[in-house]
Amino acid sequence: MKIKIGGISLSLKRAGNEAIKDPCYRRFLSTEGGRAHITFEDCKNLPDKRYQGCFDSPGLWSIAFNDHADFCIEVRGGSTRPIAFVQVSVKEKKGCVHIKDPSGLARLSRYRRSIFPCLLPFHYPVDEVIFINILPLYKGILLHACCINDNGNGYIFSGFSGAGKSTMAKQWLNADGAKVLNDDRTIVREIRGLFYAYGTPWHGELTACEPERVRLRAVFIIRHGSKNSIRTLSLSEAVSGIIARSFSPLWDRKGMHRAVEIIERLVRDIPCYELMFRPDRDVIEYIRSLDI
Amino acid sequence: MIYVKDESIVSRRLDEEVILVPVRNNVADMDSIYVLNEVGSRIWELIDGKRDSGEIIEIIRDEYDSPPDVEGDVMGFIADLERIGAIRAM
Repeated sequence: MKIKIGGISLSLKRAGNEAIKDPCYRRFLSTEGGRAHITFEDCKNLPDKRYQGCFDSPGLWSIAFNDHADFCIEVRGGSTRPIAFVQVSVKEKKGCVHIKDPSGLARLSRYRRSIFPCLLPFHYPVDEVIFINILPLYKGILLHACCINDNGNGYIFSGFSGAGKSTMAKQWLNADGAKVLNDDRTIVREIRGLFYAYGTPWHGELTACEPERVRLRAVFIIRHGSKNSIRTLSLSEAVSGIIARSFSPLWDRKGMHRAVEIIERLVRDIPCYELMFRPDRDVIEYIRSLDI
Repeated sequence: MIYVKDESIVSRRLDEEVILVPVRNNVADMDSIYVLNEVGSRIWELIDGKRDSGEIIEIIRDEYDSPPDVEGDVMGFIADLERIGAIRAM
C-alpha cells in the first residue's frame, strides 16, 4: 500500500491483509504507480549500534542517526521497553520496520489519532517524525496550523495549542467556496518557486483532513482578540514565529538549516501577518477584504 | 578571550538581523529562538574563533559612534551568548 502526504509518498510492502483503519488516513492512500519516495519493508533484525541517539521525547519515542544520515526511530509508547524500531535511509529511498513487542502496539492506541490495530510506519508518532525529517529535503515544512482553500486562495492560520486553530477552522466550515484542508497540521512546500499548502491526515478536533493542495496566498499567526485586526510581521518576527510553530527537525543541524532557509524564502515570498480575531464568521469577510 | 560559535546553534542572517535556533536533544530544551539586533548580529559575525573579545570591542567602538559603555555592552552580550550555549571560549 502507498500513502501520499504533501506530495511525498511512502509505501509499505508487507505480506497479509493489514489495512489502514483510520478513515482520515485512508483518504491519503495512493494508487499512483512508480516508486515511492520511501519504500518500507519488515525487517527481522534490530538496528545496528552505529546509530547515535540525538533526540528523546521521554517515554514515547527517540531518534538516532548514523554516519550516512540514515535515521532510526525507537517507539516506546509510554513504556521503558521499546515496541518497535523504524529505520529510514533517505538516500536509498528505503525503510524497514522491526516490531520488537507486538503486544505493545496496543499501547500506541492510547495516543491521539489512533485506531487499533496501528499499522507502522503509518501511525503516530512514527509517521510524523518521518515527515519532519524528510520534508526539508523536499523543500517542505510541517506547521502547527489550520489550512483553508478559499476559492483557490490558500490561507494558513498558525498558532500554538489554544491559539484558535480549530475555532478559526470552524468559522470556514460552511463558507461559500471555502474548504478546510486541515485544522491542526499543514504541510507547506515550495515547488518550482511557488508555495503550496497541503492538507494532512493529522487533524484536530474537527477531523478536517483533505488530501488536496492549494496555492498559498497568506500566512497568519493567530491569537484570540476582542476584534479582528492584523499587523504585518517583520522578516525576523515572521521567520522566528513560524519556526516556533513548526514541527522542524530540531535535533538535526543540517535539517534545521534547510528548514530555516525554506521558512525565510516563504516569508520573503508570501505575506505574513499577526492576526487577532474574534471567534465568529465576521473573520471570513475580514480576511477576504484584505488587500493581499 | 577568544570565542567560537557552538555547533549546536543554527544561525541565519535576515537582512540586518541574525536568528539563532538551538539544535536540541530533549523536549525539555525546547524553549527559545533568538533574534539578534543589528549590533548583536555584527558581534555574532565577528565571533570567529580568531578575534579576541578586545578586538571585537574595538571594531564595535569604531563602527557604531562610540556608545558610552561599549566594553560593558559587548562583554555582557558575549556572556549572554555563552549562557545560552551559542558560543564557547576556546
